[in-house]
Amino acid sequence: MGKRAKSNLNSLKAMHELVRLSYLPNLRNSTFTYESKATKNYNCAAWAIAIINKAISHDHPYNWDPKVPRTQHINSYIKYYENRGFGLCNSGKYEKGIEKIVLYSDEYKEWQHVAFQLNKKKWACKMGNWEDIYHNDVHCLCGGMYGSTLTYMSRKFTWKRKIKRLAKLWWIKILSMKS
Amino acid sequence: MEYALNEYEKDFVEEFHIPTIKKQINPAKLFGNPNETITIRVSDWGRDTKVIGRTKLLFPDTEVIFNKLAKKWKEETGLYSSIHKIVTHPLYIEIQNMGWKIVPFILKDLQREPEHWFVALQFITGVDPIPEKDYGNMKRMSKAWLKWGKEQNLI
Repeated sequence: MGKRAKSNLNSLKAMHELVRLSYLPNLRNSTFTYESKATKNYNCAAWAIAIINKAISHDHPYNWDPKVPRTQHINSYIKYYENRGFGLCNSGKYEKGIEKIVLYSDEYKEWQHVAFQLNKKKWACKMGNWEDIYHNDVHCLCGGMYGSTLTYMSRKFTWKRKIKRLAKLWWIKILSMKS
Repeated sequence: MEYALNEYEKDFVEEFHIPTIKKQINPAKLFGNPNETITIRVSDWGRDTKVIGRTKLLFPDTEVIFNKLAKKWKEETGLYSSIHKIVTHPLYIEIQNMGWKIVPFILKDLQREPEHWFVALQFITGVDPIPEKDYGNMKRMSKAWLKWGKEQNLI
């Protein structure tokens, strides 16, 4: 990579960092790591169910479940994940063999973001059009542009789903190492 | 410079809830001329485009304006996880409301990298060249629109 291209990339990352921290003030006080390069190939809603080649949204012409109303309301997104085997649950506490996601919504009950539980200590999500991050606490994304209401959902973590998730995680790692 | 709507046009806007945009742009920031200010008021409505206002652009190059607006839109919406919020951002609506003349520049931008222009393209042109199986796949959706653009001699 040329010197100029490298400096552009660094300034872009710095700009991302600034915007991220100003839009999500609670991120300042928490630990998070970047785990991919920025891409628009998938969004957080897709990444939560291990899809990395499609963006999910109720807007036409994005990927959506025809049985679910095309609205931004949190209930539409709950229904979307319910149709994929998830059910509402009370907390984001780690449970062995259970896959958990958390949906963020604002005061108007509009869906804003989704993260998934990676392991006992970490949660993962994709930040808009930018990178994937791993964070320790689900609340670190609250209080800013993603809203403050959390809805937890869970489903049984089958081996097939586990392998699919791991394969995608590795694939993203390989792609980010290449760049 | 401002275009005033007549009574018929006002009724039309109210009846169909057409988005109207009135934005003061300080050209000093855009083009370095501090003595001029301009008001842009445009309104389009899907395929049956009804131009209610006039876009009075003193600037010679639509591409320059598009690039400025698109860059700002990308910066401001980069962190949005909700695609709905990205495609209803005021700057996106402003670009969308510039109508057909902006389509070649949007397609040019799509050639550089996949971007969330599909809603605007469909709104302006009224066509949907994307096969249903490719909905959500950014690369394939871009390809479908670029193919359409080439067929229409827009790029």
